[in-house]
Amino acid sequence: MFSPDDTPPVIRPELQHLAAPIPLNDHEPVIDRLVDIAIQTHIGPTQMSKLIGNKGIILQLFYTRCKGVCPGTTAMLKTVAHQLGKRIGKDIVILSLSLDAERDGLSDIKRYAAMHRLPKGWYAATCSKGDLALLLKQLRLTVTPSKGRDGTIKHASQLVYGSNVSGRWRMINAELPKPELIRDMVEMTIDGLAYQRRGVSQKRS
Amino acid sequence: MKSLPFQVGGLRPFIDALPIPGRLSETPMASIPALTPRYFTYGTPKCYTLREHEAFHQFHRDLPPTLMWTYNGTFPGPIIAHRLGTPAAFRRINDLNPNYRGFGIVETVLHNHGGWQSPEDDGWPMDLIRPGEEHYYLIPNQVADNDRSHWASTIWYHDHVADHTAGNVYHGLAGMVNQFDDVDSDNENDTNPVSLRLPSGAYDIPLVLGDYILNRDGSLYFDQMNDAGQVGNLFCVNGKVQPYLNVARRKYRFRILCASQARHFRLKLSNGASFHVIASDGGLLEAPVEVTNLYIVPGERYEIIVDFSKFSLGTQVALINDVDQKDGNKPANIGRVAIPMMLFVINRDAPDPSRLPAKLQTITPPDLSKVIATRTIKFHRSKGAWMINDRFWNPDVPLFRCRLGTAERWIVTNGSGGWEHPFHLHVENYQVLRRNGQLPPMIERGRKDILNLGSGATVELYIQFHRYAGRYTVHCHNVGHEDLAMMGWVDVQP
Repeated sequence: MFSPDDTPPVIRPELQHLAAPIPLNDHEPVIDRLVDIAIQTHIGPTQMSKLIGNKGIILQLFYTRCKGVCPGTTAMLKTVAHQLGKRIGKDIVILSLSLDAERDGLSDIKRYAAMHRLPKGWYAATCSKGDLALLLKQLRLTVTPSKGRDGTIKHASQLVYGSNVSGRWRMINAELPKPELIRDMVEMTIDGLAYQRRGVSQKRS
Repeated sequence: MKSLPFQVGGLRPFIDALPIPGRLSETPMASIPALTPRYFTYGTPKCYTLREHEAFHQFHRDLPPTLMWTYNGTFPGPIIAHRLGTPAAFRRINDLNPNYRGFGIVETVLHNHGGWQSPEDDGWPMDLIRPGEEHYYLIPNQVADNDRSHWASTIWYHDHVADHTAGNVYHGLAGMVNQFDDVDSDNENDTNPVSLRLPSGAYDIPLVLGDYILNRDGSLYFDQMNDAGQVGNLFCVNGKVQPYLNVARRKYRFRILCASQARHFRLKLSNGASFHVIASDGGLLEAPVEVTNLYIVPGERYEIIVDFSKFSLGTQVALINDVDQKDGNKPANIGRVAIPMMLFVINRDAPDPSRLPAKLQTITPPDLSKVIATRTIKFHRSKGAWMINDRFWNPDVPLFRCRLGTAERWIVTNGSGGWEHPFHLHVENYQVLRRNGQLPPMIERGRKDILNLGSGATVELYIQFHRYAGRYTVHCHNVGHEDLAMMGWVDVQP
């Protein structure tokens, strides 16, 4: 780098209004580790940090009564889980966390897990309304409960994925056309290895 | 511990001199192992090495150093100077820290943005290399046989790994490329009669615009969950917060690159003086366009000539941005703020053999008789995310297929609810035929690879597929949008 001069100029009066110092305000904390909330999974209570440990996580935000995007997202996730195979539970966990803290109780969560035959390493869970708000704030996600009697909750079909170990967090729309792509993106973010399978990790012409 | 500006009321502008990246030196051909015959297709290549590694960078003298990811240790990376007609072979080494923790991903891809090269050398978003690995690629530096216009232009190189481009570019993986030819010859004293003798050498200066946020310890602040694209509060040129540049009373050529994540700029001189736009993304315009402001969006380049001889010695002129932007989606307002980007201090006289010709070149006009298809490409938001033609990024399925040797008319629209998208196409430049039904502004009539799609905009393009078959990536260059799957590709078939 070449800097032609190291003596700062004395700012002329007509430009003083442009020379005010820039305030350096603090900003909203960014995601590094998922907020450590208490969750009630279909197999028992635990803390988010304990559930994840050193593993990567795919986080689905859903609710059991959803007749919109959630069933499709769950179906997609089942394919992703199948493709990830033994990695699920071993070094990646899937957490389907309810957005409907008021209505989704333990029995709903258990019924949901049984209905979808969630494999080992995939947890359906609920948490308190306050903890859910903390998590959503951290993820910059908003959900809007319907004012109608049907009790629908408007929410995007985003999957959040990442790792407390790598500190990398991303989100992806669960309506991406191919489960393989979600699998690859998740693996790339968690451990950067996904595209080894594609055989293009090292290009030599 | 050094007293940080958090405690002393803020950062003072115009304190650091504008750093000017040096030019990348050639490396011996032997430094690139086993160049195959492909690398000699266009003649014997010049050879270069780019090494990606961590290095400290100081955004401002009152700030602690920031650990960045760099090409060859500097941020921005070194300027790569090409001469059209002379190919270049690159060895890229990934020496990033494999144990790095945080945003971005140490598996990298390099995209030669705005360059005309085979898609296999362009930087396909999935062709990543890991720390400890290398990648070789060929930049042909050619002009298509049937195009008699001059393509020498200001392009740039940056990381382009799928899903993490925003984080990786924010880490510092970006640099500029200056192309030259006989007309734009890098020599203001050139005796060749075809040379335009534009300002050169110390008077040909890159201005890489960016905006950043730093944590209290000087580390980069980056919100991985910001799907709008992050806008920063520290306004930087060539990696320095609001620097100054001492200039002589003569003409300067500034190559302006908007390397921000999502921020738009409208640049003006603080005294209202005019300047001339001479080039856009794909090279010289047909004639200089005199303006008093210049709007530029992420990924876009414009080149301007500012004649400081009209100012007296001792004059100070700030380059200001009057776009107020609160988030990544679009500007909040234009013209109500004056954000200083840098300061020019006119402090000496100097001879000026350079010229600002009335005519720069003749750009080959679109040959509409070659158009075999008209397509609509819709940028929009749906299902809580960004989409192109109702689709998310899918590296296995193209948006559509095109045929080499043909031309097409693309109608690119922005159906988003108030969001703006810089539209970018890889490999081939295009020419704007109409913007919202009107002829495009004069500065948009050159060859382009980025154009801003304002809210509700419809832009009609002419694009010709000259030589290279393969995957042409197309995406929003608000990299926050791009990483949230607002990307696709076009399959150009032989």
